[in-house]
Formats: sequence, C-alpha cells, structure tokens
Amino acid sequence: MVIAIPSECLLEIFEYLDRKYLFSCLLVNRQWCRYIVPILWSRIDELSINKNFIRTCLLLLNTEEQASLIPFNIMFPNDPKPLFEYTKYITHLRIYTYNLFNKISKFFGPFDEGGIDVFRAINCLLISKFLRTGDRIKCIEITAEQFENLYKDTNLASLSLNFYISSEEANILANALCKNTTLTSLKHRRSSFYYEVEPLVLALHQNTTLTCFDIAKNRYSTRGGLMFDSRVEKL
Amino acid sequence: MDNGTSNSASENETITLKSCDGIEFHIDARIANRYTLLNNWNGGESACIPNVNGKVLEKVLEWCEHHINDPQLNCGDDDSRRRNTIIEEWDENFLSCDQDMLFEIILAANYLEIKPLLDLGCKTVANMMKSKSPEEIRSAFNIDNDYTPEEEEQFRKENEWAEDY
Repeated sequence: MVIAIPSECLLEIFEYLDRKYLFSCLLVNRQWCRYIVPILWSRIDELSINKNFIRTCLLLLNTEEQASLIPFNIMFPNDPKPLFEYTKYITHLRIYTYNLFNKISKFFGPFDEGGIDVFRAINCLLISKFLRTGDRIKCIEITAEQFENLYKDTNLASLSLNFYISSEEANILANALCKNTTLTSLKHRRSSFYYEVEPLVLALHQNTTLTCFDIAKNRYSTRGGLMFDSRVEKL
Repeated sequence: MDNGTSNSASENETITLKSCDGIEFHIDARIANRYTLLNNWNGGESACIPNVNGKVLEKVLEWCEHHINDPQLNCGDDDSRRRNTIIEEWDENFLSCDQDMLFEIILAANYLEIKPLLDLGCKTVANMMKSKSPEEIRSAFNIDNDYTPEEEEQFRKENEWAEDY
C-alpha cells in the first residue's frame, strides 16, 4: 500500500521550506499550489523584488491601471492574466525606492531622460495596488509618494515610512491617522519634519490606537519638535 | 496539560494501552501523563486507541519513551519552533523507516496530539522535498500531476521570482 502525504499536515510541512524550495513544490499539483501561493506571497521584501516579480505585478494591473501608463509608451509583457490575484496574500511588505527603481529599470531597459517619471508612475501604481488588494497586510514599510489608500485599510497594524514626505503628504497622513483604527505602530525615521507638523500632531492626539511612534534620527524645527514631544508623552 | 508539572506519576507506575488491532502496550505512566490523548484512552481493560495500529503505536511509544525527559514546549514558542529544520541524530535514525511508516507516524502524532513528534515528522518530510524538482517530488511521494502543461508553465513564470530567493 502506498500512503499519500497526510494532507492535513501539508501546511505544517511547507512552513519549514524556504522560498526556493516552495517554488518547486508549487509546481507539483493544484492542491499544493493552493496551499503554497499564500505562503509564497505573504512576505515581500527587498530580496523578493526582482525582474520576474515586477513582471508578475505588472500583469496583475487592471486595464485602467495599465492604461494610465500609456503616455509613457512602455511595453507591457504580452501574457495572459495571472492565475491568482497574488498581491492579496501579502501580509508583510518592505520596499525601498532605490531597489524598486533598479528592478523596474532592469525590466524596461534603462530609462532615458523622462525615466524618473515612468518610475514614479509605476511605483505609485504598484504600491497602491498592494494596498488596495492586500487586505491581509499587517505590516508595511514603503517608500512611496502616494499613500492615500492608507486609511481604507482595516488590517494594517504597522507602517514604516522610509522617505521624505512633503507637507501635502503629511496632511494625507494626518487625515489617514484620524480615521485609522488599526495602526498601532508608526515609524518615520531618518527624514525631516520641516513641513508644518501641526495637522500631524493634532491627528496623533486624536488617534487612540497608536502605541508606538518612532521618529528617531529625524531633523525638525524647534517648534515642531516641541509639538511632537507633547504627543509622545501621552504614549 | 499543564507545563512541566504533569509528571506527577511515580517512576514505576505503568498503564496499559491497546492499539486498534488489539495489541497491548504497558507503558510508563509518565508518558501518558505527558500527552493528554494517550491518557484519555487509559480507561481500563477494554480501552484501545482507535485509528492507530500496533506497529505504528509501538513506534510512537518508543519515541515518547526516549523523549520522556525533554522539557515541555510552551504553545507560545511557535515561531522559534518553526523554520529550524535541524534534527537530532537519534530522531533522524528513528524516522529513517520506510515512507509509509513515516506518514503513519505523522498521522498518529497528529491524531494523538503529540506535537513534538508531529513537528519532527513534518520537518523530516520537508527535508525530503528540499533540492528536488517538481517531477522528482511527484515521483518521490507518488503524486499525480493534474496541471495542464500550459497551466504549469504559466505558474512557473508567474512565481519564478521566488526561485532565486
């Protein structure tokens, strides 16, 4: 008699395998695939983002999103729609701008003069795609110019912003913080708070779920610093 | 099961367990105390463990006996328990039985809620999958491929990013 691997233990078994091994297992059969796709796509970090990753993400964009890239005259991979809505399985996301930029330019070939705009457009599209479809995202560490989708998320518990944000973006963040009831940790390190911090500080006062607010290694004006102090004391 | 304090039975006390095919085992009561489900079936003469046959129960009990003095894991240790695929030499030898027996031990450990043995079995199977191609995994575990060739190719392309991780 040949016994099959107990299927109730398959998930447990896959937990012990690194991604490169999971990739082989994914291709074994359909049942395994249904177990593995959510594991494979759960933690996306700088190491996962390579040319092939960008390719799959671009294929996941809907017609409208793809259309917004038409002005940039870039060539899309000519492949069928992906078999899974992979991005919805992401739970942890960590992306750094320079890394994403490298991989995107590797994918499309070196950018010419207007390259930075193409990159910005794609970057925004991808990040908002992750945020919109990723309703399991709990922890996100992003560098993006746009994060309006933030307050619509219900599961996000931890957010790290690794980039300089403008006063306009600070207002969006403030607005998001007022409405958000899931975020418990916010990190915004190694940046500057030279913009008007008042809306952000008010939002921080209003928000009651946040228990960790890390603004280490930032530069700010004296007034801004004092205002943050008053909130930090409350935590 | 309360952690660490459950070995209240004295060393010489034994209890009797019966496999589903009627084979009796006299085991140290401390083993049964440690694993709730083994204890549940210690109900006197007629008590037997359904679903686990004598051959498998013998192996399971052999493992339990060897590990009787192991510290008991807290349930909260989940994360540290995972990912680590190192297996002690004794355990490795113990599980280098034929594949059917390995799977039966896993099923029994799952059924009897002997978590450390279940983990060990899963780890062993995971190690067997490492560095194998999909086709090698299929033939090693006797699994049918139900993908169409196009589908398999598409999955490969969409998830290829994970390969050089």
